[in-house]
Amino acid sequence: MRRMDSRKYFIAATAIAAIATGGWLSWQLMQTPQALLAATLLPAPAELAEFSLTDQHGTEFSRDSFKGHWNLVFFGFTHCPDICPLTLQVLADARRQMQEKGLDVLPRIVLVSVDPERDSPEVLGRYVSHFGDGTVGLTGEMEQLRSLTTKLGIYFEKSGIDGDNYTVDHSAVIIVIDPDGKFSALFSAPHEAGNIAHDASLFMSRF
Amino acid sequence: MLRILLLCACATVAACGGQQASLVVEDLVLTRPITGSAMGAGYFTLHNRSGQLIRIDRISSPDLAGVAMHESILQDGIARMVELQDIAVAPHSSVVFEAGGKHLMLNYAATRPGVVTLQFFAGPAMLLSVQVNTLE
Repeated sequence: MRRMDSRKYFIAATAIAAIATGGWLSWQLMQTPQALLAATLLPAPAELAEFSLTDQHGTEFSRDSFKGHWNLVFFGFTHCPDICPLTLQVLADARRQMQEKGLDVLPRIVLVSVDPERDSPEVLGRYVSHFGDGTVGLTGEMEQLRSLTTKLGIYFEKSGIDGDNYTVDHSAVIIVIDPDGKFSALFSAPHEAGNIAHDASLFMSRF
Repeated sequence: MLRILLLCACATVAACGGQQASLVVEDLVLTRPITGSAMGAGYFTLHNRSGQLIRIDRISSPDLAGVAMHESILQDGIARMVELQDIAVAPHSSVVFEAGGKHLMLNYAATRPGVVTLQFFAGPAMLLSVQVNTLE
């Protein structure tokens, strides 16, 4: 009889130890940070320079306007037939994937025009509307644009100038600006929607 | 709806000169300009089924304000669009025009034609004329 009791105690103790070990391992796994697939995090988020641009509604957009949102910022122009619409479509796809995964808060897509001569707020408004309601288009004075881009390390320059026709070479990076309005991460080109959705979800869950 | 509307696609080849059977275009897709822009892009594969090199030095369209052969180049994080003066298609080989690479830059200006004709030239000789029906 006493031997039976000892056996039961042994089995019960073993089961408890197994459950505890499993729980501890699960907890450890949950604590392990998921790896980023494509983004590069800055060691410390960086302040933006002061600037004043205009959004597609004609409203002033300043450094503080980034605050309160996760922002995926791309620098391009509406006369660009290939890279710019492709990148904006990738961003729109990433945001859709995040929505389908049930995220309540979605990042805002921001297109900053590097061709303010041709991209008026009206032109940008029609253009960005193709990439979803949460998309913002910014344009403005060259000096103000440079204030924003210089601090972020964004390059842009006209090229292939032939009268009124020209193109604009520009950085293809996607800049992540966090809800504190700080530059906190970037995605280097080429871009892939699944990677952006994955990494942006991670940033947003940890903030 | 998040999409780039496509103008597309069934290409019909007109007889235009001696090399027309040698040069074949497939998988032709023209992107419609996003509202607010006049520019679209053209993607396709060019096949040279002859034993001689074919050099395309111009593609034009009577239906559009302009057509240019371009290549998107990503170098050191900078996206550049370079105009191509010509496209050489080696014997029995193909050249792909695709998103993020070689492509046509199509200037629609104010026009939105229902059918777009693309003409491929080597010097003064038109090698190929392709009609592309627009699909909504």
